[in-house]
Parts: sequence; C-alpha cells; structure tokens
Amino acid sequence: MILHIDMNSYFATCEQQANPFLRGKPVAVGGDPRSFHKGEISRSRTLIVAASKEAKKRGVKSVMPSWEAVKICPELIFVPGDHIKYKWITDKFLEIFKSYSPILEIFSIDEAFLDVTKTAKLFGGAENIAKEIKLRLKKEVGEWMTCSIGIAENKLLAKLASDLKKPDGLVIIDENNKEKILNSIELIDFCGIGKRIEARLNRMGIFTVRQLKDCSYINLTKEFKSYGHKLYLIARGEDNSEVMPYYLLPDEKSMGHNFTLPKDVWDLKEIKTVILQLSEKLGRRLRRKNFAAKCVSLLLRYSFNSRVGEKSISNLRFDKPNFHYFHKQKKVNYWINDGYEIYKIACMILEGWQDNQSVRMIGIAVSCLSKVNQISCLEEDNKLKRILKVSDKINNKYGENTIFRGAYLKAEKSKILMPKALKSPVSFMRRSN
Amino acid sequence: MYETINDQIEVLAGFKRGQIIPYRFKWGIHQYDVKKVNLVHGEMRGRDMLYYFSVSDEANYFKLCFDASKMLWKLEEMMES
Repeated sequence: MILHIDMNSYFATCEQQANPFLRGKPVAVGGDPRSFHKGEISRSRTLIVAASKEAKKRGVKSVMPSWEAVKICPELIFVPGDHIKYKWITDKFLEIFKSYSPILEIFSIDEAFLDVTKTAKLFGGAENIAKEIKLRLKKEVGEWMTCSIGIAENKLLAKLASDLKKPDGLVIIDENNKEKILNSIELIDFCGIGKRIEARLNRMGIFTVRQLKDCSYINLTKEFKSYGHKLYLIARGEDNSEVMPYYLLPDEKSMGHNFTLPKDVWDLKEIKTVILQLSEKLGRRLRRKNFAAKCVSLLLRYSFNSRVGEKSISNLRFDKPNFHYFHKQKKVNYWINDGYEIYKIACMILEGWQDNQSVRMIGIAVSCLSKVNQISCLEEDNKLKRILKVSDKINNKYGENTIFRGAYLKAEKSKILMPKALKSPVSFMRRSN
Repeated sequence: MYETINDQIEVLAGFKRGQIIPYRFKWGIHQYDVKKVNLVHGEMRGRDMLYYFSVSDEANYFKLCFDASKMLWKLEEMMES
C-alpha cells in the first residue's frame, strides 16, 4: 500500500504559518513587481514561485509572471522566498513520514511517496497513518500546514488520488472505486501524461482514459515506442515502479545552476562575471559530494526583446518558440571540480558565441560525473587542490563565502552579483592567472 | 510589506523541554510581548547554528534570530498588520 503525500501550496503555506497576518489572504512567493524604484534592481521579470490557496482561487498560478499576477489580483501580497525555511520544514515533515516506514521516496521538496505495505498493520492501517500524519503535521510543524494524501496499491494511483482533493484531502483508490475514478478523469490528470503527450494522443483520436484503454498495445508502441508500454499500463491504472527509498538513490548524473539576471546584459565581461560565480558554486557542490566532472555546458538565454516585440510576451510563455538561446557543451579529458577550471572551460565555449544578443539568463552545468580521488603528478595541480581544500575547510567552518576569489570583488563592483553571493570580504583567495 | 531590520535586541526567553521560547523583547525604546511563536527553523552557518523564531503579537509579525554560538539575539525583519 502506497501513500502519496503532497503539501498544499507549500512555500506560500510556510509563509502563512510563519506570519499569521498573511493567513486567509492571497499570498505569492516571489519578487514584487511593484517594488521597482529608480536605481533599484528591476524585479518586473520575476515569476510567481508559489501561490497560496486564496491566491489560486483568484487565478494566480505558479510560474506566472509577477506583473501578470498583479493584474489578475491587485491585492496580492508578495513575500520573498526563504529556501532555508522551506528546506527545514521539509526535513521536519519527512521525519514524521519516516516514523511510519523507512521506504520513503522524496519526490520533490513538498511531495513524497511512502510504502507502508509492511508497516501499516503496526499503526492500524494505511488510512490511520494518513490521518495521524495530518494531525502530527499540525502539531509538530504548524497549525496552518496541510497536505493532501492519496492511498492506493501503486505510485501512479496514489499520486492521482492525492491530486483529486486539494487542499487537505484524503482519497483512497481501491478495487471498488478504481474503474469509476479512471473513467471520470482527464488524460492530463495522470502523472506521465503532459500536454505534448496529450496532444499526440488527441491526434490519434484518443481523448479519454477509456479510449486510451481501448487503444491496442501495438498502436501505442508504434506511436510512442517504449513509452507506449507505459501509456498502456497508465490506462489500466497499473504501475510497476517501486518506491525508491531516499537512502538508495543513485548518484547524480549532472549538476547545474541558472541565474536570471536583474537586467539584460550585452557586455561579455559582465556575462563572464556571472559565469564565474555559477562555476564557483558548482565547483563547491562537486567537491562537497566528492565528485569531479568531464563535461561543461553553457546556456545563454536571450531577452524577450532580442528578436520579438514586447507585445508578444504573453504568447511567448505558452507557445513553443520560447526564448532564443545559445547552448553548447565541451568535454575535456581530465577530471575537474575546481570552480575556476569550470569557468575557464565555459569561457572557451563562450568564444564561439557570436549571436550578439542581450542575455537574460545564464546557466552552467557539469556532467559525466564520477567519484574521483586522483592525485596529479604535477605539483602545481596538487598545490591548487590544497588551496581549495583549505578554502573549503574555512567556508565549512565559518560559513559560505567567508573566503572567496578576488575576481568576485569585480562582480560586486559591476553590481551583477547573485543573491547572498558575498558576505563582508574578510579575506580572499588570490590566484596567479 | 516586510521591513528588514537586523538590529540586536534584548530578549527574555525560557527553555522548556529542549526548546527555546522567546517571551518578550526590547528593540530600542519599544518593548514587545510575544503572543505566539508561529514557526521555528534553523540554519547552519559554517559551524554556527542560527535559530529563527517567527513570532507575533497582537498587531505585528517579527522574525527573531538567535545565534547560539555568540548568544546574541537579532530582530531580522518585521511586518505591521
């Protein structure tokens, strides 16, 4: 028996839990487009990260541009995101879940699957566990925190069940109501059928779950290849995937960071400044997990105005030809986990960039990861490794960016600095290049 | 909306069953009685542990920060209802 637990309007609810004066009001987590002043960083390009249930009722949705949300709901209250707070609360509710079964899959920061097949009888059944979780959430995390729980024989149906009643729902799908529920929902309600798959199914003349069930296995695999098998199972409410416990998760295959700039940037120097910050962040993350990479990729997303007019912004969000971008990767034949090395490779990629467009978002990613503990024969390499080790040690002890590269100071000057990039510059690393 | 303060404050707090409960604090010439602790969360900053208390009185929301290594309290932000 599987439980799927989904925290309702998670980030916004956390903010309402912290501040009772926000409760019952439309709240959005994200930058306020109305806070624009001369000389201050523009936030008019920010998106809604999360909306409270009251805001959702007014039509505000996640990932909607903030200015559009204000148009729909002028009394919308904007609250800046606080990911430390959300992560802390996530850890707290995961502890509650773990007390009912160790087979817990962390699906995202606000969703989890819990396999209680072997432990349900210890707690009076799966439904009882769900009710207890809801109560403990209010008692141990906060009275405003709610979640929707779906209970079913597999992950697909459990997720579907939790989506059926929001907020604060508890839905059980069993043999008695399975067919009825499957025949009453839309194709897109299934986790695994997105808008594109739905459109392709529609082109095949499939608009309902019943029609999908009636479609032959051969036709589905002919159109969708191996995914056709999954769709065949979905239509029957079947799912063979197991709940993957958090302690058995496979190693990451890639890591990346993106940053949307406070203003559009043309200048190569400014772009490089951001690349350096992202690279350093990545290098630190790689070293923390004892990884090294062999492949670096760079993404530059161009601004709205680069090729299209402002008038078509709203269309751009939903249409296929979104923003234009530059995306390239470079593979090297040695292992890297130093931020500056990542930066240098990204700069090499950047040399091939000739679009001359204004950039609104920069992303860096590394892939071909491996746990590497190689000692180089070159003294210079080992010296750099020792410097990194010491700087990591200092930052672990005294907090992030207690020690940082001197090049960061340029970033501070150019005012294109990622949030929380620097504390007061206590000291900084020097490097001879 | 939220006003960032970041001022050091004096706090009257209790310790109960492994928990810290701020009851009253003094910020400048103002004194506030905490009506409710709405949320407590923490953050490791290097080796130091910081605890954040989202509290409220009848009319205001406050975010207090307790630096356990320095034994210092700060008023981080506030919002008048």
